[in-house]
Amino acid sequence: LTPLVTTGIPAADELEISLFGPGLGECIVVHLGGGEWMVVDSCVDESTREPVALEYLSKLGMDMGRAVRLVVVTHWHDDHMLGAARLVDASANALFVCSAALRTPEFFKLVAEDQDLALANSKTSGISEFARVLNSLGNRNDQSSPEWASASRRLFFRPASDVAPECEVFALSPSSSSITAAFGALASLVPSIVGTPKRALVSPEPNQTAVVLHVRLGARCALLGADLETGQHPKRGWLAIINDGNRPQHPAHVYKVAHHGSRNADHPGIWRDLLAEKPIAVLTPFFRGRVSLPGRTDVERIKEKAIVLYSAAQVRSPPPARRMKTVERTIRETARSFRTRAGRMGQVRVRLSPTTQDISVFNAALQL
Amino acid sequence: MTTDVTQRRPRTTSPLLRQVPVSDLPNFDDETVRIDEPAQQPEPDHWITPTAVPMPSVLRRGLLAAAQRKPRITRLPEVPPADYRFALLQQWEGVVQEVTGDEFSAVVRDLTDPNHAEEEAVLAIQEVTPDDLPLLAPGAIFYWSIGYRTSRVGQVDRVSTIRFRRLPAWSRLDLQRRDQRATALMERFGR
Repeated sequence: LTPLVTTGIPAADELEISLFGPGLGECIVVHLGGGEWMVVDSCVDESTREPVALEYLSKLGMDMGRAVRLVVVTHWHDDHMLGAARLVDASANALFVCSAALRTPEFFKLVAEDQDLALANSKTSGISEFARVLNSLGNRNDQSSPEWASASRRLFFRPASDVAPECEVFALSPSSSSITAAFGALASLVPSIVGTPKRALVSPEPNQTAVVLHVRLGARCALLGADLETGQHPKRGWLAIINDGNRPQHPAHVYKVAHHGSRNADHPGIWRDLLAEKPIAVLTPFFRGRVSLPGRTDVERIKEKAIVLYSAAQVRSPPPARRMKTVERTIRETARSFRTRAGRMGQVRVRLSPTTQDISVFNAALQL
Repeated sequence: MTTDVTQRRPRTTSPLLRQVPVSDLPNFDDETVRIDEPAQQPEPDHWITPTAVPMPSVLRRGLLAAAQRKPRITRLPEVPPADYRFALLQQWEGVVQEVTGDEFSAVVRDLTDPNHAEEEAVLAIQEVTPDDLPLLAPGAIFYWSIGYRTSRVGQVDRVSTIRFRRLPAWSRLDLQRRDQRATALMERFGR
């Protein structure tokens, strides 16, 4: 039997899912076995201003250029993109993967427009980061371009060897119907009339084009739900995945819960058809305006179906920065709600060997 | 502001700075007329002449045409002297995320201490100056300032103001340039 590894680097046959989240944004670092890694989405540790995946893999002593095989951006919202360009820079030989729903002239117009705008001091929007990613790819010598992920598309395959079991990574979304619908939605964001005032781009909702991933290392599987939402249309969002006969049929033992545990990203078919009975569930929280995810009912709903549920960060919003009393008093009198977007970074690490499993939490992460 | 154009020093070496006779000026009241006067600009190290350095003929023609135009005359409203002083304590730049009911949410970035992480505020629409209400929309950029306002008579008030930035509109040229760049990006990365 392979010994359980709880510290240091995972064993060659261990599937590791490390979920990082500071309260806004998320990043998943996945060990694909045999010392090869995949990074899904990116967020930045506010204390160091570094992409958290870069920090983590550096601490493990990994050579990013050789060890990282895939960098996947599930969608272009800012809470999933920050630091992605630095990650792509460092992972010089990794395939950059993003949603096929973005492979449209309208999306490239948004990218080109962002380069022109420079509207606000805050240049932390997902679209700005995407522009920087393209710039990084453009600087590579091999004429790299993104790999456009869509339903049931295999992104990575490594045959079994003496060192590590067979490994494959599939994209389960977006479906063809979601991609077609997204083209229209993106077009509506692109200013096309002379005289339209210039404005910063705000991420649209709902999200039916995010890239959901199925990872298998030997007999161990994980389902990474991104921010994909469900809806009424049988060929879009989660329903399209559930109804897709071509997807991998191995049920997953670990589930990165979709869209921060929100009800509109859940469906009984996910638990019935895509996951093993009582899987390990992990999620990151999300705060925007008056929205806080997951809510209490979301946590209860997920805990009924999972054996355990972990969060990478506190599920309550972090407090704002301290300022002089006069300013704090005026904020209280003026704003109906005021909080810091990101709090302390936490990590939930799940390691699955062929015969054992280990779950560890670090920093702000906790079991719900 | 009144400008006595007859006192302006002629610079015959440059057609860019042609002296304007008083008779050329429209008949505005002195208080409401300002002439954009080169003498108010910082003195350059040297004056540009079309013959001093080689330049493309298109550019030269443009410069000559500009030089031959009459100075721009702008009618300004009378601006009363400020009746208060404002001591700024805190300022953020915000981007509106969502407008719902009688409030809007925004991501705000601390301009006073840029080391602070981004924050999020939900503010009542009532806090927005009425003149700025038409500008309130997702993606709009505003400045939220907190400070002390001292009136002429010495009364001090603690105030919070939200003012929206007047952003330029997309021009035909902007859109063409953007579309050209997008086409190039699509050709390079959209394979």
